[in-house]
Amino acid sequence: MGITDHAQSELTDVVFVEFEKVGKKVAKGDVVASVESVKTVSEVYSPAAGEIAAVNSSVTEKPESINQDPYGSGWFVVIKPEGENEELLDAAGYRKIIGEE
Amino acid sequence: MEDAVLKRTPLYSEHVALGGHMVDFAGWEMPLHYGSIIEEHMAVRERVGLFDVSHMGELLFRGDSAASGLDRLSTNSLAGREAGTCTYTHHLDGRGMIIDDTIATRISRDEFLTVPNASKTGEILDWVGSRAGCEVEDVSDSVCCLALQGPQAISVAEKVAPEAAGLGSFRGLFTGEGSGNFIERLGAGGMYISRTGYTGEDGFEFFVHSSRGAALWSRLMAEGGSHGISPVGLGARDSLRLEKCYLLSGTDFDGSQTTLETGYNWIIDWNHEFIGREALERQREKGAYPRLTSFLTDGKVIPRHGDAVRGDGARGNVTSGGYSPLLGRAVAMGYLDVPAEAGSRVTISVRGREIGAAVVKPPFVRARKKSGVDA
Repeated sequence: MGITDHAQSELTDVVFVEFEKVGKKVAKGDVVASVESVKTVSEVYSPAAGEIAAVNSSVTEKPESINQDPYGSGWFVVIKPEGENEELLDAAGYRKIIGEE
Repeated sequence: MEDAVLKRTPLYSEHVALGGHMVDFAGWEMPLHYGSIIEEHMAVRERVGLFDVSHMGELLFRGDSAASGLDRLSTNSLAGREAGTCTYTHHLDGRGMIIDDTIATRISRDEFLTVPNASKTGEILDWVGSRAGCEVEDVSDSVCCLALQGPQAISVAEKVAPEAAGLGSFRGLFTGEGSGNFIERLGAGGMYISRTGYTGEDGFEFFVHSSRGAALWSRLMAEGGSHGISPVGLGARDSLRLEKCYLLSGTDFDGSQTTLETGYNWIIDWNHEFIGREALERQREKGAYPRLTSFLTDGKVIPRHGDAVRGDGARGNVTSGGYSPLLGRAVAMGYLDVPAEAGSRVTISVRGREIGAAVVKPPFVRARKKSGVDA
């Protein structure tokens, strides 16, 4: 999971990201990362209950990839969900909902 | 936030066409950035950038007593300056507290221009209007101001106005032939150009009549194309000034700080009388007063306005914090209750976390060699 193109645009340039630890159990809505941008600091919440299976350490080195490629190299974490999560959206599904395509 | 209609500068359409991310700034709908604050910042440091600063006010002081009147409202002395001189100064209240800062330009023997901050234009107009003892006209709505900043600004400026290349630092001139006062010459199609700015780079500020603002913007963007010009929003305007430790009105002073507290002692001319002088004299004699201090943090966690600072026996709060693209680290300024030596350590509480930082002598980023500037 990551943040949307709209979110990265609102945040402005990201300079710093911190993740929760791999292996941590999270509930839906728990913080999985905090993002420091030039403008503000924001927390990123888990969209589902589960376990953090991986974090994208490459964005720690290269935080600008969150702005440049939010749906690709700027991903945040992998969450291994518990149970069904039908309401989750991928980037294409999100774009459809907001009417971009 | 009040549900008020935001004001727009004559360049609103240009900002939107360039993908400007528009935000409310002091009641104005202004571009925060056009894609990346850091890229715009670097464009100004390395090449050239163009800013719309038309949200700022423009006040004209006119008449035989304009020089003496404005001089009395200013920490820096203005009366003895020759025409075409731009002077950074503070307006103080009777308690010595900064109301606003500005660059005051002597347009002619009996006319001065000041450029109040957008959020302070009304307050300043009220303050000076009854005290200047001369005619004060608010021409903010008729004037568009563009700032062209960066090491290559001169190459772009001279294509638009060849006479700009000969300007010394903090000097200004009218382009073209003509006579009359500031607003008459702008109304007749002239420009006033000053070698000033708020970025610490070489650069120019162009004042034109609002009706010609969009044409000048387009011309500068076109001429700057081969120099890699970038439009620059308010985000980079803030990070550029913070790297240079320039004050931000309403943030680094908010009506309860004196010029001495900011450390801008060089803009106090003790050889003239001005409102607030007695308060500054008392503070100077007493000696103990808060000092604006610069903090270079150890990392990238950005201190924000209000965060607590603790040093060796010193306490205070952050007024400005941000990320320095040139240093790759977070930097901040804030007032400490006692002076701190450069090199001493402080901790800043940022969202419950203690961040280490070093006290440094301002600015964070020093000037590189400039060409064609005699300052």
